[in-house]
Amino acid sequence: MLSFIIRRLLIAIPLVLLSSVLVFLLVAYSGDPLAELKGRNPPVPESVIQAREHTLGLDKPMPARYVTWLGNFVQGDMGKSIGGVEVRPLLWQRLKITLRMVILASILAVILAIGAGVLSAVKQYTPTDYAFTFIGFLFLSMPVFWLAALLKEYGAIRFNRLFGKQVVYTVGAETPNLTGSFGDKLANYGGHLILPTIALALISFAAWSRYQRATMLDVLGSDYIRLARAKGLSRSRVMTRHALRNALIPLVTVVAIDIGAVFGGAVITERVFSWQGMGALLVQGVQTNDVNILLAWLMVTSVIVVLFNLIADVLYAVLDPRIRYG
Amino acid sequence: MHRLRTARLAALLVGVAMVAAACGGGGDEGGGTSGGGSGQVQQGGTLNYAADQEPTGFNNNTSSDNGTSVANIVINTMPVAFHLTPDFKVVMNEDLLDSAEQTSENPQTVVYKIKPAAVWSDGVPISADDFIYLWKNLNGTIKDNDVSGTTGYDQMKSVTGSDNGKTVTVVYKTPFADWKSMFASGNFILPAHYVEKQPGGWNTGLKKNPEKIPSGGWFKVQNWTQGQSLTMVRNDKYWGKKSNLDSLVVRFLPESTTQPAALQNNEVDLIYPQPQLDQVQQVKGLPDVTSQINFGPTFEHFDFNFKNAQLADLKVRQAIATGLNTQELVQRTVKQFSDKAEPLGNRIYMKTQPDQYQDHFGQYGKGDVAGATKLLEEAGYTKGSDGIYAKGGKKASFRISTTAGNQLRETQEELFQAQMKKIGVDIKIANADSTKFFGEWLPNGNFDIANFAWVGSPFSISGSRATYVCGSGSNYGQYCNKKVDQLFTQAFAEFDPAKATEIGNQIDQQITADMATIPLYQKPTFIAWRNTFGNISDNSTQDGPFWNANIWGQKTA
Repeated sequence: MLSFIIRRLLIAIPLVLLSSVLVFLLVAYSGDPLAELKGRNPPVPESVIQAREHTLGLDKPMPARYVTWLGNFVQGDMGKSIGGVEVRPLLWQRLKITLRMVILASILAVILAIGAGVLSAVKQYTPTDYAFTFIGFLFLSMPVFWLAALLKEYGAIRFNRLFGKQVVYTVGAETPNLTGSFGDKLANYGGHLILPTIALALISFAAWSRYQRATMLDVLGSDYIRLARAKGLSRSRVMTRHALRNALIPLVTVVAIDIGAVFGGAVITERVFSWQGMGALLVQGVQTNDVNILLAWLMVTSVIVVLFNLIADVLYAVLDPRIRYG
Repeated sequence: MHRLRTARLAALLVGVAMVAAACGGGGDEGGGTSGGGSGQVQQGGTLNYAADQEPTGFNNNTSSDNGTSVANIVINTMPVAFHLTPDFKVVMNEDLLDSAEQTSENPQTVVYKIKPAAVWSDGVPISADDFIYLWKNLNGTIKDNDVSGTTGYDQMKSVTGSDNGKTVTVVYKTPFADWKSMFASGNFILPAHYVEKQPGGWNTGLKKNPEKIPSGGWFKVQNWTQGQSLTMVRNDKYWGKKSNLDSLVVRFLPESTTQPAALQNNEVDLIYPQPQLDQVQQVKGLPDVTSQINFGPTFEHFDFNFKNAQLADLKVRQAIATGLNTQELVQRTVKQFSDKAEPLGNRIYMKTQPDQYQDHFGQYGKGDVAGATKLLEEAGYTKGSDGIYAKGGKKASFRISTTAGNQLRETQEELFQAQMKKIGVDIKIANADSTKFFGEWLPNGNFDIANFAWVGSPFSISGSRATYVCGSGSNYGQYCNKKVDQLFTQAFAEFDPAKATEIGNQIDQQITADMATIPLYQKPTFIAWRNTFGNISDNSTQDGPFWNANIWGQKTA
């Protein structure tokens, strides 16, 4: 297993390097990062624009820019944003905010998806199956901004009014300058987390539950399950040890890849709940054509996606005893 | 921002502010309890403000920090010599200064007398050193200095201190009539003794640790949690009218569409987003929330590109202006926000400057099809079988360009297109994202007719010059009339405000006569707050909504 992981890591290095070239070219040719500055009225002095071009390295040829940027990046220096803010601490701070939302939502979505998918498959074409199918497709087709609006109105505003107390929040990750006991703080974090977590979890759950249902149905129809039943194994043992374990393999791959991508920020969910996470940072970078922010964001998310692919492969081997890597 | 020393004067100010907001700002108040901005307020409490952008630093005089997100914070912590009121008046900051007078015209000399009691929050007196530091860093002589602009400061010959640093004397090299714009809104006075000692100094010395920056305003920064909020607390060392509120929390909520729900759910108390129609209507329907629509100094306009051979013909430009129906444009766009929206007839002075504003565009923009086609025919154009005029085989066909994705402007373009079709002019819509539009298309002259907005200013002459003089980088349409240049030079040196206004209006008349640009309307600003707070009112000038934050407070029960 260890050599497998090392081998996969070694393969990942050129992959990340290649993605860095693509990312750099994409960002470098996407527009002039100083366009807003140049378009101001009254005009900003030319010397200021030239100095800014120099700071951002825009006055150098493209290959030299890439080499400089890559050299700094591998040493942990992600440069400064157009506004002169250090990108590395900014990215780290945003990643922490995103993680808070994504981890909980993903755990919740996986549990719900496995439960709903398995139940749907086992009770195929029964009212239970139809109900889960309906719920799945409902959330698959529901735009997250609309779901968010519903949650805010009924899950926060009316709920709080009903209890005459501020329990659920509609924006941000926490109330500024939070004081009080550990319990108070926990309640505040929870109150801010609840709506975005539900929104994100429901959207992910919808897709994953359909996937789980399909794989479970495949497995239930396979010969070895029939054989297990014919040997007289109990229904629960057949379901958990044989069917579910095998049916989880494809889902693990999908979930691992999805979670890796979600670390880049659940862009829409973050925006509709005004969370300053990775998604909001990406939007800010794109809107302002901020080269260093975009490069850092894309590189970090590339690495995370590669890492989660690796985790998926490892889990695949763990779950399926037939797979052994030398 | 008029901080007065006695409670009686403070009360008078509240009254003045309310009148100014009601009359001068062209406000359109809506929402629950009427008159939510006024009332008796008490000491204490916290107000939460929703900001859609986080500050990039705290030196608003640099190009990197020269944005609203920074200005809305430092206006509470850094002093200025002059303020802008909601009715676009320029008034001396009576908290900071005892007087600010021009004592000589030749050479132009201005003397500022700083109040003896004026101190930074670390106890260091606010002095001439702070004025000198600002001048030296903004006059364009320090290489590699990041500055937002050098206008005015580069015309100063010297800035000196006397009277133990409490008197500042500024001598100009060349006359500068808008001298009140110096050390004023947009150029906040910095604590020189602090900035000079910071690593990075002027350029980056104020990027971090705002809680350590000495304050010269009614609030001081207590903490800044990046990505979340910035908290300001009452500056107890402030010598003027201290803030009623204990603290003001600026919450960074990047998506402005989330603000109405946050307001309704008591998570924020004040919002000031870029107005969007559905959002405005949503807020107006909220109970216990007061909102105002005002018309600020930012105005929409169409610019002609004089490098386009067909548009270089005055009669063609006049034909377009004649066939245009600005009333219809206003009706279908900005009037949906407020009934008070009207077409604008001046580029130098706004309607919210009633003492200076004159309508020079009244004869145009009425959708006069007959008049427009007559002008085209006089220019040698003949109508083709497709209804489009042409001259020498070349059709009267132009592109109109604006920032893609801006729904209001896209609607404007479509209306303009339809109006021009009626007069036989073909309009094609070609838009670009704002970065490309402002950064590439406009500076490179890659447009026929451009639609965007200029930010006007109570300092109308100095604020407009770069847009209309020959060869200026901001004069994207390459309009050039030496008479206009000469009038600007004349206005710059005219110290009599009435005469300067007269020249300003002559400039606008000339631009209309040359039909260089078409003014459309002033853009709305939108502010809403919870009725539990009083004394809040919009200031749509560069001073912004925090112009009087020291008198805000929670209403008494």
